[in-house]
Amino acid sequence: MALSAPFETIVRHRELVVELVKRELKDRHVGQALGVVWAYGHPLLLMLIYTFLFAYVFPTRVAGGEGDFAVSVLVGVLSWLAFQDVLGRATTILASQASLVKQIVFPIEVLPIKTAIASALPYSLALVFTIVYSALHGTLTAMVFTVPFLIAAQLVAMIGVAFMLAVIGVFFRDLRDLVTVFCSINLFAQPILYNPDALPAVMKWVFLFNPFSYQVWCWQDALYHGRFAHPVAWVVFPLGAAATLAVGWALFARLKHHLGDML
Amino acid sequence: MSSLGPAIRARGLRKAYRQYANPVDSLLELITQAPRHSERVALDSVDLELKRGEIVGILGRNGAGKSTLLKIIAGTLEHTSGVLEISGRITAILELGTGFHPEYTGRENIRMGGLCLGMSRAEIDRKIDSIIDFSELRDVIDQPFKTYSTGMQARLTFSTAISVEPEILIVDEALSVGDARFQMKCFGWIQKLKQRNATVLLVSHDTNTITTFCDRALILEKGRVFAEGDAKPMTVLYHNLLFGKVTASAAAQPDTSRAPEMAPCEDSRLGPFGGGKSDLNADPEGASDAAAGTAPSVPIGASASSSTASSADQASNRIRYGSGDAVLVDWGLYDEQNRTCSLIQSGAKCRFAMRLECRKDIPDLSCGFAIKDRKGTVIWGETNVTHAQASFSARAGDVLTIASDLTMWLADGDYFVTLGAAHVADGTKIDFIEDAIQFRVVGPGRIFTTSLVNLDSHFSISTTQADDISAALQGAAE
Repeated sequence: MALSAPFETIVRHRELVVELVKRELKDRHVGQALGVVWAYGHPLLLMLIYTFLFAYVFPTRVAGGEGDFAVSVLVGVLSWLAFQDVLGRATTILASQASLVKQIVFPIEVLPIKTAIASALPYSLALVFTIVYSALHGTLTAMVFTVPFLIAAQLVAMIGVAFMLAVIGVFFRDLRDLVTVFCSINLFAQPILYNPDALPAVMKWVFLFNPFSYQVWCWQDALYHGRFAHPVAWVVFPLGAAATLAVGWALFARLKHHLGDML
Repeated sequence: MSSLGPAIRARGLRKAYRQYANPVDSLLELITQAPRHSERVALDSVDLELKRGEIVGILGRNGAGKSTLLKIIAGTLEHTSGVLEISGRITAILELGTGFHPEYTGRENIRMGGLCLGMSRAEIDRKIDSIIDFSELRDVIDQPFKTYSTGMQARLTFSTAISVEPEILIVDEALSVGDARFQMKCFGWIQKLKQRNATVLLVSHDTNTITTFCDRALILEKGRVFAEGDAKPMTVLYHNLLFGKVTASAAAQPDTSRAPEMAPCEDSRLGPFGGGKSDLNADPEGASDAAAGTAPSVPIGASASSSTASSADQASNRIRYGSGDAVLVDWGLYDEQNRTCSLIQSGAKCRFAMRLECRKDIPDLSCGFAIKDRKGTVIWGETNVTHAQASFSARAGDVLTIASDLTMWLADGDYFVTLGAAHVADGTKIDFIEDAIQFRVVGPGRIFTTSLVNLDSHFSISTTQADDISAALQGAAE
């Protein structure tokens, strides 16, 4: 099956991927005193700010809610931030590594893969924080064991999107700015920050049509609702992730031969 | 390695860069399949075949398509049409420090570079010491890459790249920044690679490099294979191409296996001697000086070492230049019986001779001979100025016979003789013929085959008795 190809690439080049991920995380903060601490500290800091905002500044009570609404916000924000991270980087992956693409015989498929992994990894600490926070506020159930599955599904989706954006970004340089605009809007187009009780009807439609919502719903089910509150999302999200990867890979495979000419 | 068959085979290889008015057009074109570009042809119907164990050089001026060809063979660029078959593991050194990060140390960069080149971590660990040793950078290997000089960066890049043990190695000019000693080491390594039946494709502007290391060479001009053949004649042809004696349009017939364009050129060079020479004056002068990369013309000997020219084929590929104030007409290498010869025993007496017909008064004539080896290095030279510390005064109409009697102490090998006549005062060349005489020396046989000279050595081993030594030691102790 075509979908196995990206995984074969990862397995074949695992050492290169590991090394590139390490290096990317290190490179982002090279020459800084705290170095890689920033990579992990930055998402954690954001989580703390959202916690502060939604637990103390705007405490929200949801009628019939399972518990502290701040947990719901944190979970949603976390999954979105990790995804947004790769969106922001993916469009320039190939352009910024032009020398690797053009000058040596190099498996360029690993570049989007490592970018996706390097984007996700720093959020691991923030995820631990979120799980601990949800445990402290009593929303943690056995659903927590679905977290590894959700991580895997989200990573698959992120890699798929990275493939797409990376290769399209070479041909269509404006993509980067489009993505930036999309990211700032999309935070508000997902069921993250809104009190479900006070939601205008139109937003329900927006959520339904926004593919990112399904990911958020799954995460919220796992760590906030503690049950399969959105069963449809549990079907749509994994299948959508797999489809994203399949399309991304196919697009990348189709266009990669033209990259040398474009860079 | 699939044993037989060529390592690289290309038929009708064509590369057209698509140029888009708007970057979006490229995407639209890929989606809609409707052409929205203009084309710039970088390579046009290139045929190429490299056997295993062959070292082939590519010559060509800037923009001739050399790098495009290498990138297509290396696989980082796609060709537009044509057939390209490659069998074997390729390593390409297309640019210095690729995949190397300036902030990281040399050691870290070797690890990363190795991974990028497809080695496993275990393989790199096994090889890293030999890589560092080869690069000769052990002292600085743990310092950041950015602190290295260009030459050091080249050394690290090359050392890392070759550790892959490629079956096909592609090198694009990367070696020219290393110092001479490291270059020699790299070429030594390339030779070893050749012995293991690997194929090497080399781009260099240094024609010396091409003649020394390549079995064959091909010249690219305007995206086509302009000529292809033995390395030496190709460098001569390239030299002429570069300095405008051969025009690409005049000689653009494909599949020129040798260099037929040379002959008419040679004629046109010789024809106007003594006649309209003003236009001849500027061109060859500039050509030879630019080629040699050294500005001033020293009378004969030294300036004849113009690093480019040399030819095995006396009749067709000779380079000749000069003002034509006098013309060399008759020359040769003669043995003791005064017979022309081209094969000479090392240690035998012989004579170089030439005749110079003077067409003008030349009050400050310097003339003589220089012997070059296969690599174009001048290994001996003599003129009347170096010999007698005085120039010669010749009058128009004089025919001078110039000769140098010598004992041939060179070792086994092929050599080339450049003849020259020049003005001492301003160094203007009157008539220079590069590689006018080719001769072979058959060596004394008792010495290394790599010997350059025959030192007329007499080898001996004598035994000293052990008793004598102990006696001598005792004697010393007392």
